[in-house]
Amino acid sequence: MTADEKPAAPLLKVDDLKVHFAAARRRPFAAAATVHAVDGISFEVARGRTLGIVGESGSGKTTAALAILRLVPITAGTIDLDGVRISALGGEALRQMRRRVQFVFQDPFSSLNPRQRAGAIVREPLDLMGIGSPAEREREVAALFRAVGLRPEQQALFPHQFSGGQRQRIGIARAIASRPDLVVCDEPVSALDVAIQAQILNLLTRLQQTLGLTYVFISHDLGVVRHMCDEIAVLYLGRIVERAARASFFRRPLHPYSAALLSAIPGAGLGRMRLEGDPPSPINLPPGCRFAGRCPFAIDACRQSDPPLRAVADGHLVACHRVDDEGTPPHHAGV
Amino acid sequence: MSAAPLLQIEHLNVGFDTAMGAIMVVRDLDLVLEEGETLCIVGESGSGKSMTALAIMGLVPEPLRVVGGGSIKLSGEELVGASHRRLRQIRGKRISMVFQEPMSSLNPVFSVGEQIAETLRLHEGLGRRDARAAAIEMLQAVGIPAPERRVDDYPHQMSGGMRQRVMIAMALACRPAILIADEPTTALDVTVQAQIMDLLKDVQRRFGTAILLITHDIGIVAEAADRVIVLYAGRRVEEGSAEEVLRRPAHPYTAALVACAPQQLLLGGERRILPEIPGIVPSLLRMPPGCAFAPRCARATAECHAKAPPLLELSAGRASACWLATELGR
Amino acid sequence: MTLLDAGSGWQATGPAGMPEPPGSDEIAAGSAAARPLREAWRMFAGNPLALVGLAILAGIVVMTIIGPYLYPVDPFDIVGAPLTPPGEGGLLFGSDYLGRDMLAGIIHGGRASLTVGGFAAIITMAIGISIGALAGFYGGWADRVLMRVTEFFQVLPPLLLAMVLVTLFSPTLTTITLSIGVVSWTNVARLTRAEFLKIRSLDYVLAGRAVGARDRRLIWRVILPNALPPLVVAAALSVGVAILFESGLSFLGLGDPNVMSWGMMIGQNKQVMLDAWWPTTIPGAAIFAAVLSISLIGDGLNDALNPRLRRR
Repeated sequence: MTADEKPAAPLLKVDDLKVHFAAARRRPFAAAATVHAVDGISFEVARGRTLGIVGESGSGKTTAALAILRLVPITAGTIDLDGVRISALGGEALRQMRRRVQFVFQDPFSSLNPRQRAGAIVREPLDLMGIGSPAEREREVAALFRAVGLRPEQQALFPHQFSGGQRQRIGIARAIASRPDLVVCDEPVSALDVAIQAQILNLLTRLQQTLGLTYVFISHDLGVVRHMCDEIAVLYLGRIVERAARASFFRRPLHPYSAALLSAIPGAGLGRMRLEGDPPSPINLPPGCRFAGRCPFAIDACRQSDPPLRAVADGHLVACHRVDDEGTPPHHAGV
Repeated sequence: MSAAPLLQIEHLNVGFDTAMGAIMVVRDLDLVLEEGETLCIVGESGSGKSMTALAIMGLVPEPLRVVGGGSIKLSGEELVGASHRRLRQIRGKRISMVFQEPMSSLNPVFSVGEQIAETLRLHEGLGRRDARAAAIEMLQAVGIPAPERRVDDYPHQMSGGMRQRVMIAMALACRPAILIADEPTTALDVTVQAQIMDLLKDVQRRFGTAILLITHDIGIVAEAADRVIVLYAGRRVEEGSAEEVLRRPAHPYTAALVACAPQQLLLGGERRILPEIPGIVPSLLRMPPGCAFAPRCARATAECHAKAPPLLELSAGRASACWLATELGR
Repeated sequence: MTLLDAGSGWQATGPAGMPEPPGSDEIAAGSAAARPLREAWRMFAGNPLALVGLAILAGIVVMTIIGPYLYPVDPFDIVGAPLTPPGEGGLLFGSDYLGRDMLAGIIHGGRASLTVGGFAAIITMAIGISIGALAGFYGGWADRVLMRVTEFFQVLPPLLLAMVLVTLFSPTLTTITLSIGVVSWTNVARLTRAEFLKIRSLDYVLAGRAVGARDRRLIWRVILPNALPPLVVAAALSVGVAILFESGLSFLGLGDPNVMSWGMMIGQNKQVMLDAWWPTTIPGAAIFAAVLSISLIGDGLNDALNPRLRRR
């Protein structure tokens, strides 16, 4: 937890990752538009730490997560896990890599096969990766059930016999079964009732402590992100617009979009900065800053040139023309 | 007490019979909504909050029914047992509703203008041309830019936030006295949620509409509500002014909800372990004999497990259904 | 007001992941949908028409299996005068235009009809599911190629194609079964493809891939079991269709001449149709009963396996 302890080589290193894909054509023979879902993002995560990726719909946060797991094709860029270039793996090597990187899904209802018993779901990674003997797997699954707060005898039940929170526990047990180094959590609590959210967050925290897990934690909820994450990256239309350590970010969010996200939280009383319109689609991108169309502080320069992500304070990066070199944002909406 | 309140619900019970006994989704609910105020009903999934809204609209889905002689009065007029014809006249005209999912509540094959105009022609008897003009005016009122152009758009051509604005325009077209909003921002992005909440407050101020806001989000209660009713497993566990309920919850469930709210994570001190409510909401088929919250309550006593506490009035308009209410509410 | 000043006396309650109270998971366990198969059977058994269908089919199957032992008469032997009416000369169903025992024909013919129906349905399902699954799972060019092939088979009149195939390879039970299978898989392929397209985008398929499942496993062990309900119904109905097909071919004289079947009985007796009702009507009724019972079962399965009709 000490912020100044110098981490060794990062566990996960993502460099200039791009994921583009063709949009569905509106008319036959129309030129296929390209969706820039993830458009050149870079970050590192040290072992045992948690990186939060924050964004709204269309920000590319889920696509980025799937790309790290190599579940969508990567257009450009590299991903290294513990020094291994996993973006270059294929075939059996890629399959074997999967035991080291796992995923927790947002929707606890669609992420479990309704025809599989809970025990078989958790056991599947062990079987597929050939981890342990059958008897060891048996013991391991029982231990996993206990570790996530379920009873081992619940293994025989089908997913629909569990509540939403319990299903999410099954999904977490499946994710940690192969003893991964990295777990990518995609909005793991947003589909749950508030009272259950805290249970799941506490479970994830405890598992991180006991198993030394590294998390990439994707969420739209800044409260959850503040609680869970050591570092925060704000994603807007496929780009990181701000990246900073937790304390620095919440003390003084620099990008106008970050400030708007914070002030939009009801009941928190964090300023009243309102954005116009909805997040635009990542298909037809404007030439300048992608946020310029909704930004109350946009000037001509913002509409003409795309601001680079630059460091304005120690470890605090922002992509905004309006933030000066001393790190003074156009809004002054610190928390 | 002068005239009858705008909306008064007494002893509302919604449920149905099964082979395993009666299942009650809403139990013995009393509620008063006055003109121009915002009343929040807050609860988790399965608390009965949405069913209360549907009961007011006369839209309780089969096999559920309003049972046990409850009453829902709109300006003194009884709605339980009213004719379908009368309910149709009231829906959309005197009471209207905005749902969580704007995409599935709009008809994809008609333009948004036609859908708003439809309501006006039905209830106000406007002609085609007048209805269209009124629809454009409503779109303007809910902050849709270039309404004279967007009026011919179809729902799929609009973003989620725009569609929710259209839903609100449609709901308010006949200037109803009551707007029921069931989780109106839950399906939207954070920055858009804030816009919609602002819009609701704005139209309330301009049209004097009373809003019954149904939500799971304590933050929205804090921001929008005048008064709040907390439901748990179909029963009222606490009610009072929003400020008092949030500041000094007089029921352990409310206290836990407030403590669990994501806003607390944003504002409170740093903790590694969050306060949580253990367990889950009891099944409606197996309600505990005592207080429904007792199995999850850290302060439950033998009395709590044995006997359900009545709703105890603590002060005017402030009540809690907990044996420890007076102790907690201080 | 904000939540900042909303103090609350709530304390953290114990460690995270505290086991939930026993019994909380039995919410659904106590209700109807505990075991999918048992529940489907409960729905099926509550449908009187489906049970009638099942009873009829069971009766026909039992008859064709043990009938030849209880009534060991060769259906090709001439046992009496031609066109003996039912009940006379010790012949329960009478005799046909050559004087062969109609009852023996029904019993032995049922064996051929049901065997062809059953195996042709298996071939139909095997081809249809394989093609549909590959097209739906992989999409892209694989989907385009396989669907063009499917459409090619769809535009050819199936009975005509089956006739050509049977004539080319000389009519035996095997070639007839194969021909019927080869001409009738297209609908199954389209149905399977549609189900696969729907299911492959669900999170649990992605989850399977994330824990290292290979494509083969995802197709056969993850997606197919979830796509099964409509396919089971299709399989039941395709048995009925295959029986009709076989009857049609036999009626047209393209049946296996060495094996008695219901269609062959109708086909051979068609010229005496105006002189005697029984040689064509009795096998016709047998075909009708078999196909109807299978349709009823198919409808019952459709309701029982349709999750939307379940619950309460």
